[in-house]
Amino acid sequence: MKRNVVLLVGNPNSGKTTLFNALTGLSAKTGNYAGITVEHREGRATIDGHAVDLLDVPGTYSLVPRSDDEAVAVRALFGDLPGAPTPKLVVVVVDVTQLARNLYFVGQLRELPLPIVVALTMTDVVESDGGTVDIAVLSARLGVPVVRAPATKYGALELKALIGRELGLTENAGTTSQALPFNPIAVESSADVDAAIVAAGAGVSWARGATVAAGRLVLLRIAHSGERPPLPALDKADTSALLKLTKNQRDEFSARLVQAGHRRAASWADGICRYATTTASTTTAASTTTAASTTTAASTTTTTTTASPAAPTTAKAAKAAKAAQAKAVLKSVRFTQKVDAFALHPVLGPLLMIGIFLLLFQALFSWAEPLMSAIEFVVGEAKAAVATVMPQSLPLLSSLVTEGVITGVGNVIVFVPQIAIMFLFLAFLEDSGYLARAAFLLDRVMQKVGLHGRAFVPLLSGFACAVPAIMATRTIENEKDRLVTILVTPLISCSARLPVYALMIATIFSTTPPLFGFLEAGAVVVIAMYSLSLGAALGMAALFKRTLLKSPTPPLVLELPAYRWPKPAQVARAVGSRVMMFLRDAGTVILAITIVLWAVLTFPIDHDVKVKRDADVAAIEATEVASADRDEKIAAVKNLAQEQLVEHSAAGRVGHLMAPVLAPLGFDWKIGIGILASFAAREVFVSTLGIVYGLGEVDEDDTTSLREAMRKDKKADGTPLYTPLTGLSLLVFFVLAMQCMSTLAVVKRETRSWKWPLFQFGYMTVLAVLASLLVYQGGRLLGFV
Amino acid sequence: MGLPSSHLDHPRAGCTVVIDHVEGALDATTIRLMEMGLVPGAAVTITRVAPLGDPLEVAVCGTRLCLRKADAHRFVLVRAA
Repeated sequence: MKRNVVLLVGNPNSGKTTLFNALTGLSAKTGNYAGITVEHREGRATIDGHAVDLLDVPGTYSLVPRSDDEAVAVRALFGDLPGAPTPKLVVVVVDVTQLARNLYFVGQLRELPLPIVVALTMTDVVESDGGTVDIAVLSARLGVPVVRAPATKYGALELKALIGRELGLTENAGTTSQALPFNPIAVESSADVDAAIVAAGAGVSWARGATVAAGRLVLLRIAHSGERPPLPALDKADTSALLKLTKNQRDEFSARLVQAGHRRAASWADGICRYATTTASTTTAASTTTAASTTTAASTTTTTTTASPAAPTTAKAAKAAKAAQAKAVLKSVRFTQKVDAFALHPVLGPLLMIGIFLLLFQALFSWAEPLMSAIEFVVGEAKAAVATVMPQSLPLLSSLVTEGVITGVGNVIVFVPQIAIMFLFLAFLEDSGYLARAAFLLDRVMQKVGLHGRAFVPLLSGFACAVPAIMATRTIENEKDRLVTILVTPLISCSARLPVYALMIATIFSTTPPLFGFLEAGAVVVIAMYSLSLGAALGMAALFKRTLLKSPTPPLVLELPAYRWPKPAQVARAVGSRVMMFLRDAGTVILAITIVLWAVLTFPIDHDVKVKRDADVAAIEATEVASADRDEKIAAVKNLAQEQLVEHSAAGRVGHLMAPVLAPLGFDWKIGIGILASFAAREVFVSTLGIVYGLGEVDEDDTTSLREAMRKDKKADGTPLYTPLTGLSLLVFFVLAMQCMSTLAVVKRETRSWKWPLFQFGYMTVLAVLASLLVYQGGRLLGFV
Repeated sequence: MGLPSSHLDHPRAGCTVVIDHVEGALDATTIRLMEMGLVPGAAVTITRVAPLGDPLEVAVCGTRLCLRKADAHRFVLVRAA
C-alpha cells in the first residue's frame, strides 16, 4: 500500500509545530535523515480509518534556502531528501496576523506544480478580538483550498477533513482547486533574461510544467550561492545561459522578482483579515500595498486576482487610513509591544536578560545538584546491593557488573537533571519568543567573536556542564557556527573541574600567603582558571571561524515574533524527547566507554597481589579480636593491594609509559593514571589519585588524607612533587584538556559522526599539553621550582 | 519621490520611511531581507535601536525585523510624506 505522506511547511513562528502536534498527538518522533544534522519530525494521524504520515520540517521564508534548516524544508518539498518519502500533499501553514508576508512564500509554492492547501493559524486570535477572516475570498484568490487551523481544542479538525478529501480518503472526495491553472507572476525583463530563465528551469526535474518559476528560483539562488550548501534539485539546472548575463542584469531581475512577489502577496492579503476597528483598506498589509502601488507603475499584473490595491488618492486619505490602522492593532500585538518596552529597554532590557540567564545558570549549577546527588546515592546503593547478591566465587563478574555496568548507567543518568533543566529553559525561552530578543540584545557582543547571538546560551551553560550546553547549540541554525560553538564549549570551565581545582588548591596553595596581603591565593587561582577557560574558548572560536570553519560573521535577519505563552504539553514533549535522545544515542556510548575504562583499570590482574592480600587479611582476622583498630588494618591492606592492582593494570602501565612524556609537564605516573581515569568524568581524578596513593576510594568532599599523602610525595631527586608550579601546570591541563567521554559522546550524537569529536579531542589535548609545558618549563626558566 | 534621500541605517527611531531602491550588488543577506518585506516601495518604521547601538529593529509588512546597520545601509530611502 502506498503511504499517504503529507508535508507541513510554512514561515518560522507560523504555528506549524503546534498544528503538527495537534494533528499527530503523541505519535510524533524526532529524527534525522541520513547524513543530515537538521532534525525533522514525523507523526501519524488517522483520517477516516486511513493512516496518514505527517512530516514537520523547519520553517522557511522562501523557496531559496538561506540556512541548512531551510534547505531541509525545501528539499523535503521536492522529495529531494535521501530516505524521505515524496509528499502527496503539502499543507502550507500561514499565520493570518502576518498574512502578507506569509503569502509571499505561498506565491512561490503556487507557481510550482505542487499539490498544496493552506492552513490559517491565529484565526482565533483575530476573531476573539472581534475581527474577521475572509476564508472564501482568500481561497478564491489563491486558487487553492484554505481552512482555519487555530490552536484551539478542535482547531485542527477542519484541516484533517480537508487532508482526507484531498488525498481521496473520504467518501465525498470532491474536485480540488489544484486543477486551476496558475501562471508565474509577470515581471518586466528583457528577452535574453527570459530565455536564460526558461533554459535554467527546463533542467530542473521536479519543475515539469513550471520552467519559468523554477528558472527564477535558480536565479535567486545564484545570489545566495557560495556560502550555503547546495540544494540538489536546483543544482541540476543548466545555469550557463544565466551566468552569461551580467551580474547587474541578474540582480536587477532578482530585485524585481522579489518586489513583484510582495506586491502580489499584498494584493492577495488585502482585506482578508479585518480587525474590529478597521475599515476595508486597513489590514496589516495596507502600508505595503499602498506604498507599492504609488512607487511602481503598471508593470504589475497578477494572474489570478483581479482585486487591485486601492491606492489612496490624496494624502489626507492616506493619513486617515494610517490613523485607523494604528488603532487596529491586535490585543496580542499590544501586549507584545508593552512587554518589549521593558524587555528591550536600553537599561532594563539587559538587566532582565542577565537575570534570566543567571536563573538558568543557577538552575543548572545548584538546582540540579540534589537530583544528581540522589541519582549518585541510588547508584551507590544499587552497587552495594548487587555486590552482596553476586556470587563471591566470581569477584571479576561482580566487579564488571558493579564498577562497569552500574557505574556506566549511573554515568549516563546523572546528566538527566541538567539536560532536562536546560531544555525546559530553552523550550520556554524559544516558544515564548524571548530567545529572539536575547539575540537582538547580544548581537553586537557576539558579532565581535564572529558567532551568532544564540551561541551565548550554550557558552554560558558550559560553565555548568558541557553536555547540556552542546545539546543546546541546536538553536543555532548555521551549521558552521554551530560546529564552532560545539568545538569550543568544552573549554569553558565546567562544574566537574571544581573538585580538581579544590584538591589542588587545598593541597598546594592553602599555605601560600595572600596576594597583596588580602587576596587569597586559592581565589586568585580559581579566577585565573576561569579567565583562562573563557579566553581559550573565545580565542579558539575566533581562530576556527577564520581558518577551519571559515565563514563570514553570521548575518542577522531576525524576526521578533509576538510573545506567546509556551504550551506545557509542548514544553514537556521537547524536554522528554531531548532526554530520550541523550539516553538512547549518547548513553550507549558513555556506558560502553565506562566498561572499557573499567577493563583498562582492572586487567591484567596481578594474582600474586590478590593472594597476598587475602592471606594478610585472613592473618589479621585470625590473630586479632574484632575492633576498630583491626578494621583499619584490614582496610589498609586492601587499599595497598588496590593500589598495586591498579599499577599492574593496563592503565597503570600506560601511566608508567607516559611518565617520560609527562615529566616535562611536571607530572608523574600517578597523575598519568589519574588523567586516564578522569576520562570517565573529571572529578574521578580525585578518587583515582586516592587509589594510587593506597588510600582507597577518596570522597571528593573530604580529601584530608589524600592531601597529606600528596604533600609528602617526593620526586626521584627528593624534592616535593606537588610544588605550586606542578599544581598550576596540572590545573591548566585540566582547564584545556578534553577529559570527558560524555562530552565526546554528545558531540558525536550532535554532529552525527566521529570526525568532530575526535578532532576536538585532538586539538584540546594538544592545546592542554602545550600550555602545561609552557607553564612548567617557563616557570622553571623564571626560577620557580 | 521627494528629496532628500537617505539610508535605512540613518533615520532615528520612531520614524516611518519608504524604501526607494537597493544599492550595490545583491548579496544573500540583502535578498533575504527583501524577501522578508524590505522591497522598494515598502513603508518601514524604525522601531528601536539595540542598547549597544546595533542592530536595528524595524517594522515592515506587519512584521518586526532585526537587522544590522551595515546591512540596513544598502537600502536607500525616500522619506514618507
